[in-house]
Amino acid sequence: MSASTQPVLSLNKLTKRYHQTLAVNDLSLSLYPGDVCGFLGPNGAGKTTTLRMILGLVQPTHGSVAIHGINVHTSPTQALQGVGAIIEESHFYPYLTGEQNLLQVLRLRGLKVAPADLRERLHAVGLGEAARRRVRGYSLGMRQRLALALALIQAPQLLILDEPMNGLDPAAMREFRTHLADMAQTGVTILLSSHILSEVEQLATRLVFMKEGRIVGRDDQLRTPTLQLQVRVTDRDKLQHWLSERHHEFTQGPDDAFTVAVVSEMDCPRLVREWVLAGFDILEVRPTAQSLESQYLARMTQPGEDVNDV
Amino acid sequence: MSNPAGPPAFRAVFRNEIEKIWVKRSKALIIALIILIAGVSLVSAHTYHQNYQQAAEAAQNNQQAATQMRQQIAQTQRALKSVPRGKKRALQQQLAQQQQALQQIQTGNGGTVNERLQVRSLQNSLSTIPTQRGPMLEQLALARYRVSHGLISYNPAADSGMRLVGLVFGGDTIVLFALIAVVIASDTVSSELQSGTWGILLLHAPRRRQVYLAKWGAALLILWGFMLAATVGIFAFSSVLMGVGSTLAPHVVGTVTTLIPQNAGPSLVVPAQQIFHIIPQWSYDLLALVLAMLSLGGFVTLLVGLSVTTRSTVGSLIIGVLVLISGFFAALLGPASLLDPAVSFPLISDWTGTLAMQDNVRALTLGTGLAVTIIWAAAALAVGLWRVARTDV
Repeated sequence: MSASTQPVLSLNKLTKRYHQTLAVNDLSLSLYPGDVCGFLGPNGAGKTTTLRMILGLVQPTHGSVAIHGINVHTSPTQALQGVGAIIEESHFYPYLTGEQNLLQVLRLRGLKVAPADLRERLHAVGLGEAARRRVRGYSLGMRQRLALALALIQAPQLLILDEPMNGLDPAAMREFRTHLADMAQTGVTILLSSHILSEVEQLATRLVFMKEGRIVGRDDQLRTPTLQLQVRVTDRDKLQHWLSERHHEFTQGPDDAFTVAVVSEMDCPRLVREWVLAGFDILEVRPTAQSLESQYLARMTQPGEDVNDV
Repeated sequence: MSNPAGPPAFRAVFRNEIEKIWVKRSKALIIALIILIAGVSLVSAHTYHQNYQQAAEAAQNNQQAATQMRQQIAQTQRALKSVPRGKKRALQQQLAQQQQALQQIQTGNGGTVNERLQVRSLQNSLSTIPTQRGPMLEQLALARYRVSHGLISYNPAADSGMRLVGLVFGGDTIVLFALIAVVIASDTVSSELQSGTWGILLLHAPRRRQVYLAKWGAALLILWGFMLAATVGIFAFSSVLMGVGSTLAPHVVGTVTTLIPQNAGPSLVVPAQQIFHIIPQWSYDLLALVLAMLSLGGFVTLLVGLSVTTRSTVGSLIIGVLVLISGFFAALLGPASLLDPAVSFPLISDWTGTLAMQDNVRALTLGTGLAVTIIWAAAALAVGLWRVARTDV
């Protein structure tokens, strides 16, 4: 990504108000070719509303959304031309078959596909057998697979995915993840909202944390994991006091272990040395990488800085 | 695979909508079509046979009455020869009256026999249904007018598959088609909004107004297809049961009646400038069908508008059915019934003057009926297009 490249997706001071509720507040964000942006936040944070505004389904109260520089709300057809999406629960016409649902979208996109090719597409997402069954009888996982087939129908340059892994079994999840990673490698930009943090962690190159309609944190260097040192000592209160006094960032786990954030790898032996010199009886110490889950929880429990313009 | 077409064409959205309605409703529509064709044809055939029997009895009675009258005339003529000159004058008067009566009996041809029965039946009903006295007196007056002018509005001999089509779209049976319209159109947008498929649809076809118009067009096309299929089916099946009938049997249309209470009883006044149209059966049937397609097309527009405005299938269904039912209460609504789109569903009856007569509202004419239909449809279309562009998904 480079700042000189034109962003694939740019949100400019996007705001949505429903009567008295401010669902999304002055949100700005730019994504560039090949970005895989994890879009995280608790329920009600405004993620889905934001994604729906990006797709032109919800009208913003203020602000604008542009895809490749084209405003989604003034020129939706052109702007959404190369966009694929999975929106929360996947909705299809239950009385149509999987094949018919896919055919409907192909027609809308003005694409002509041979029947064999159509079946091939469904086969590729594991729906070969169920292609001619009505969607009414599909499981949640099968619906998600169909949603994936629809999202990828036209080699999208931008993928907007809202909880795309819902209902998928572990094998399908891995398959899906690999597919997304391959697409990102070819320059496809992905905005991924999911509560399955382990999946986001494996895919995302950037993170945006959202809370109460605002961006409360971001991480543009996700591939460099943040180091931590997990330590257990006999005198916990003394260690807590020691860490606080020296302004170390730390959390205390349920098993009496302290997780202390460190800036570089060389900080680990230095810290251990200091604890020994300070007279702590160390029961256990091991370096770990900070998980996305702990980052997420830290962002959501602390009062967030205002980083809406990212 | 390529995308030369660029933005989705209206045709693609329209085709999708037709497919969706067809897959979702085809079974119900085919069953409804069969029931409608069979029901209308069988009920009409039953009524036809009853009326035919009545007409036959009436013709027989007529014949007996004529024979009786001839015998009386012969008796009077014989008496006339035997009575003295001074008493002849009274008998001559009696003979003239009898000959006039015979002439009247003889002019009671097949075409007006049932009109006479209708007059008799209306006269009997007048005393038993006092609440309907007004409209009934008008019907009575119109029936008398037709009898005296030899005009055929109801003729058992003309009862046929050909005639039935016009009757279906010019009478209460049209409500069944309006019900079909409710089934087809009232969930057009709301079901997609409620099920969440609206989002997927707009993602691939973001021009909302285009999607709305495609949905409206698809609902119209399916309803009109159903009406045409029903027309062909009713004509074919009832022709098997009652015969094809004459394509040229006359119909009187364009009557607007005025009731003038007089000492001797009410009478029908037809203004001098009144334009009567006596049109052949085929023309009447075709016009009835086209006008019904127009009025129910307006109703479909209203239902699609309701569907997007209420965002609820149940809501638009209930309102649609209420509008439909309101047509039955036109007589109670008085002049306000002019604004009710359901009153003018059978637009052909607006033209023939039947609605004005039934509902006691003179202003119910083809012009007002068309105007009301078009105004409601235009308003619903405008509101629907406005709402659909502003609905968050």
